[in-house]
Amino acid sequence: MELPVLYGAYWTIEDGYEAQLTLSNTTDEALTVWPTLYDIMGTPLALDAVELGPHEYIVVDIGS
Amino acid sequence: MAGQEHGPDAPFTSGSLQLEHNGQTIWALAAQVTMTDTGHHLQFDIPVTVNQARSSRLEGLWWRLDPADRVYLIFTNVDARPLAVRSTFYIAGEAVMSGEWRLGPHACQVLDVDEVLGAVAGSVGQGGITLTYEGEPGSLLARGFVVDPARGFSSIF
Repeated sequence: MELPVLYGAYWTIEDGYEAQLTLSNTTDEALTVWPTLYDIMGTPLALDAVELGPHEYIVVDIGS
Repeated sequence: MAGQEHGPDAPFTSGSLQLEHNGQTIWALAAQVTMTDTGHHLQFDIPVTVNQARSSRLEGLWWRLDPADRVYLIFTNVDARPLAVRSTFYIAGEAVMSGEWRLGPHACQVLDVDEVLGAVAGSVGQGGITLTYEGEPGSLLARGFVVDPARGFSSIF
């Protein structure tokens, strides 16, 4: 079974920007999230899985 | 915003992202990317969403409040296959510039609207954009950024 997938159009840490990813579990169940960053050419970088408790949110630093 | 000077050895400093999760529905996860330049008081909030587009054509408007504002259009291939994209910019209802782009899997294209339009842009404050692509509907995401670091102005479209 395919897992649900969300997409973000853009992130950058160039030109003095810091980037953060906020993840929020909207459900009463625990949730595991597998984030993958892509560079501008499409090269993937899989980040560590994030475990979220029910209705928990977390802020992940992408970089600066 | 990032420019276009990216080659095979470019540092991993900009791009797109994907979130896979094990929720019962797609809506089990809400997410966004926040990009902040505190030195210039700039911030962009980019939603991370499911792409439910039912068409291979995206329509939008670009705008700026001041001629000094820089306007960027960014479009991203979220598919694992290459994507051919055609962009057309309109000013006052007239198509003024078209371009064709080939995006690799999960690749981004960053367009500086002033560079794309050149002298045509002048002090124009708004215009239309059409993006069409050869691929499954939902394969392309697009966002626009308006920014003027000198006065701390930032917005998205």
